[in-house]
Amino acid sequence: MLEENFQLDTPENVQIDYEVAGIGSRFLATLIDQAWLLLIRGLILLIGGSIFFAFDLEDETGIIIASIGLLLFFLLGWGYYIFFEINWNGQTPGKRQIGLRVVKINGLPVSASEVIIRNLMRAIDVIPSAYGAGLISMFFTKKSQRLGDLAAGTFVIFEQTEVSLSEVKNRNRVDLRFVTPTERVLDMPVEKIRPELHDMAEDFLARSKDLGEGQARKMVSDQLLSQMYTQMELGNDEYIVLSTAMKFDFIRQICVRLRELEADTKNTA
Amino acid sequence: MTPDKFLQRRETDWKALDDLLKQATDRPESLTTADAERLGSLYRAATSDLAIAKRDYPKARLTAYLNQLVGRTHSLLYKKRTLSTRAIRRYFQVDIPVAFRRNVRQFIIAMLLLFVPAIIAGVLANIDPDLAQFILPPGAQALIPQIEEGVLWTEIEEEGRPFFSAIIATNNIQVSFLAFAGGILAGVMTIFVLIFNGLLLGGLMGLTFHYGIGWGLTEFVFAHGVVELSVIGLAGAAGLLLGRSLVSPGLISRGDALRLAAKDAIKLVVACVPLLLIAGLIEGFISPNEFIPFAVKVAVGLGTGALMYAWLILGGRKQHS
Repeated sequence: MLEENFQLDTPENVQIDYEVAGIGSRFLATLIDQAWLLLIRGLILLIGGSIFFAFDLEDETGIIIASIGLLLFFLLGWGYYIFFEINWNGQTPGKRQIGLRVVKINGLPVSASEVIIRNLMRAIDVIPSAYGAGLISMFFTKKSQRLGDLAAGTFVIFEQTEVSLSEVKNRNRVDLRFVTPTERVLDMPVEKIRPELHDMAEDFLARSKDLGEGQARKMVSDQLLSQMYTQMELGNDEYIVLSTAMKFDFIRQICVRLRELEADTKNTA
Repeated sequence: MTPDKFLQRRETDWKALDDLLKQATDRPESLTTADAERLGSLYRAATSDLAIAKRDYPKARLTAYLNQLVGRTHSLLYKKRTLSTRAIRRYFQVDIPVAFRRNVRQFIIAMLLLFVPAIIAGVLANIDPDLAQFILPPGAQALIPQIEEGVLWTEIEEEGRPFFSAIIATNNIQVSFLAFAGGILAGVMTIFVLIFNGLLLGGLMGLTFHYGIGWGLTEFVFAHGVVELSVIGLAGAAGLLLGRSLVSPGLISRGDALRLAAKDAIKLVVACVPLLLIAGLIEGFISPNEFIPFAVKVAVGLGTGALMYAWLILGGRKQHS
């Protein structure tokens, strides 16, 4: 049911891609928030209790402290999410840690009234227990919305946080020092291969260990080679007869030449 | 241009934008006007970089990096202003009363759903107290033997009153949230909450009058009852609004109708919170106090009720028109 991507059109006329947050990541964020709530409730109990016992207060004062504690517990339970989602632009400590954010259905930031609606609807989302109604609703809606999200017109996005600039710069390229291109590869017009295809090939090499030796490696090798051949305008798919291991080596050799080309253009620039 | 070259050329700006973004999130007060202006121009440059990257290298890591950079800046730049005291004041002075008057029909229906069962239950229980076990909800049946002996359960020891008051207020607020949120189940849950509370109120009233302690209960209920019962009507109206939007959305989709209804309904629910805190204070401190004469309690009930309805009926008329 889940529609995985959401595109936001900005006033600058650029589309930003977001991933719709699914049940798993939202569950993790909820766990973190619940842990914080538990901690704060513990602190309230501890502080209230120590005031009572440290000053050896009478029972009447104790009841007043207990009443204040009860109100604080209540305020915390309903107010925690509302407070943070209003002041942190759709995030709570848990959501921030996981990289989630509540946004309007059109991708724009949420308003205070929407935050209040989606959080008061928790009264129904949590029935019959453990967010049962909310889970069913999330399962059947394209944007993984619980009932509160439906009423408020909001949903939760996953802001990609895993790509950093340094990571983009120092892509972990595998060591290809000991790979020498054969005559055949030296003859190829590799300069026609587009940079992003080179990137993909490098990505593939870097991750080939995770892919294992099996079907996945064969499939990706085939796809990469077929695209490379198309871009180099080499008609005959001679590589088809090769074994997977040889195809893999073929890609490595092409990458060696592409890197040389890249270094050349960098030096002349 | 290769992604690497593109990166080399623009890297300093992206880094600067990233740093400003962190600063704006962690220490917004440290941003100067110049910083804010720079953030704007860096953002616009980054959006055009993203557009180029999406066209030329749609699958590169670089594009994913730019996408998240632009996305994070966008949500910062376009975020709603944090709540000002002025906005909150306007919300209570104008928005809530206007929303009440716009949906007064729902409020009346909710009050009928509360009081019609209450009157029926009251009359029945008064005529034949044996019927009470069919009328009263299971939780309240425990009170029946006590009532039969002519003893009220409303006496609260003086030192327990603050705690009792806090319990009452928080519990009632919780019920009003449930009456509102339950509207999303096509209004069924809201109607259930209203009828349930009506039966409870009417059943107990009828039964206590049958055993001659009805005036005692009335004396206890009156001071806080006017506001408290009206608030049940408010929360019920909010839930009925949600329910109606789903049952008969009119010419728009059910999803849109629900969102529109929730915008109005939430104002009625927010109104419930301070009202129930006041009612809770009265119920904890004034209602059980045997030294306050009945007349004063009636005055408190009517007075708070009049203030509440004056707010809802007259509030924001000038500003709105």
